[in-house]
Amino acid sequence: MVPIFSLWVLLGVMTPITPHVDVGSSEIELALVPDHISVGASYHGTTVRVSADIPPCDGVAVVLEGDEEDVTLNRKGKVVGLWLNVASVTVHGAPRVYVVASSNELTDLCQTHQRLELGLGFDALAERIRFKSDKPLTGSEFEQFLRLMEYRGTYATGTPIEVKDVDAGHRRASTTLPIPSCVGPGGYSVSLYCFEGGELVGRATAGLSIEAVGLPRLMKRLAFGHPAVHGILAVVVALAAGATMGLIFNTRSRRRK
Amino acid sequence: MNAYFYLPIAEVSVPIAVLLALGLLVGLLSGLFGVGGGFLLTPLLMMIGIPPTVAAASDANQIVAASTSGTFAHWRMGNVDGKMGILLVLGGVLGGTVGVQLIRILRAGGNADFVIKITYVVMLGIIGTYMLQESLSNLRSRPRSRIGAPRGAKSWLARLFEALPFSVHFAKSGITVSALVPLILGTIVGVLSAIMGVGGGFIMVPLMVYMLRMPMHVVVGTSLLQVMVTCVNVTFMQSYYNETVDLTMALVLLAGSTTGAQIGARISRRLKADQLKIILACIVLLVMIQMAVGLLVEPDLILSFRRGH
Repeated sequence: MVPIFSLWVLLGVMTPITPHVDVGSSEIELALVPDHISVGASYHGTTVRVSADIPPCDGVAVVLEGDEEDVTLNRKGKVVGLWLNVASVTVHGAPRVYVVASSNELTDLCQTHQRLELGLGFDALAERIRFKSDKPLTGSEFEQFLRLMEYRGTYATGTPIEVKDVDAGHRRASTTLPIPSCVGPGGYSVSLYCFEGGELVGRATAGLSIEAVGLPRLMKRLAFGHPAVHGILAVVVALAAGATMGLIFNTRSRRRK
Repeated sequence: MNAYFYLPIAEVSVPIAVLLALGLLVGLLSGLFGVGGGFLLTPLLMMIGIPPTVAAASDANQIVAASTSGTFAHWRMGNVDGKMGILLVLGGVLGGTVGVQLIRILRAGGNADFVIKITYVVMLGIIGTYMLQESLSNLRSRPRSRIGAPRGAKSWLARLFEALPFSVHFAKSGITVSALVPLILGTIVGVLSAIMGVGGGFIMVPLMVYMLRMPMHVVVGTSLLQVMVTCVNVTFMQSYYNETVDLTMALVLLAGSTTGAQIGARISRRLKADQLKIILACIVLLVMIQMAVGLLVEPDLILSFRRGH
């Protein structure tokens, strides 16, 4: 996983703004600025500018998506008048991030079956995500999961796409995708779809990498690679900080006396 | 302009000023009342977007620093009863082990959340109301007292404590009581703190004041010693088994909390014992009301990320 990811990052560095052109009736150059995000100690989220020269079309959509991961959640329910965690719900097949930008309403871009096939929109996500629980499912799990992820800022739709005529026969689509700080290091994909009369006329995919650097990388390696050392360090640092502060205040109060 | 700090284990970034202010507030409480402040800081950290698992674990880490700083300050002022502290810690470790197993059984039966929440609200309600009531009546009857240990006729419980074997004199606290008493009280607090997921200072303080009848200022220093030992254990366990301690967040929090603990310890010497107890009682009752409201009002989000231990 790591070598493949590193190679992918390396290729990204060697060929900046190099899209991964996908199948479609028209070849599209998809540019991400930046296409690599470094998460340092002062990082607090960012945005990625996505742009592409597109063929003649009447609708464009862009999807930012992360790897799928299983998540375990608590579900609250009312027990003798009190709201308590009543069940454990495991979510399978949910992407870590799902942000969709579009020039028109998603439902106006193409037929429902094609939209579901391409994974455009929350109803397409609903087809992919599966829920398992130790208690009977209520049927509203997807809606509630969506609310949770929208609250975190990792799932969103409705980001606008600007489409401009560059010159005769050439148009340029661009949008700015929000990347909240809770979107962690890893590989993400950005896909662009162009539709004309409800038909897909072009598509392209590019990779976006987020990587921890400096202090965050060091702390992650220590916490996940050497948890015992990390635990001892955490205790020693806290004891030392407490004792040092005690000494400083002690010295000051003695001086005053 | 807000300077942000990226927390690598929590995977969120927060303004440094917010973390420092939270640390200062909790350190102040720690130095003032001898509580770790976990019951207050963990929900506050969750409110600013820290995942619950990381909030609880990192909170324990910063409490180590704040309670070390506070214990140091109180030790210097002669407010720590080491003999009493050791017995309470031993009981706390025993009770904590029992409590963890109890929670495991309750989780398997699906009743853990109910028991935890109800225990929280009931304990906070009883402790807060009793402290407030008692301190207010003391202030009215003895406005100039600074001693803090409640006086009056001996209760049946006090007489029972005196009848127990292994009687030990605790010079710093000025009491003679069976060594079994702090051991048993420590065990009870250990069980409750394992169930409630907190250090247990806010339960330990009232128990020492009202059951052991220790002077309030010695109670604060001794409680801090017990909180410090408990949280050293919790920090290591959370880091080793759950990998949820965010050391960078704890470092910023403890920069505020160690300072706050020193300031709190100084303020505590200037306040009357009953005034201290009234403030702590009000905080305990506010947290209880906030928890009760959370239980009664339908939440905005029915699903939440699971909190680990």
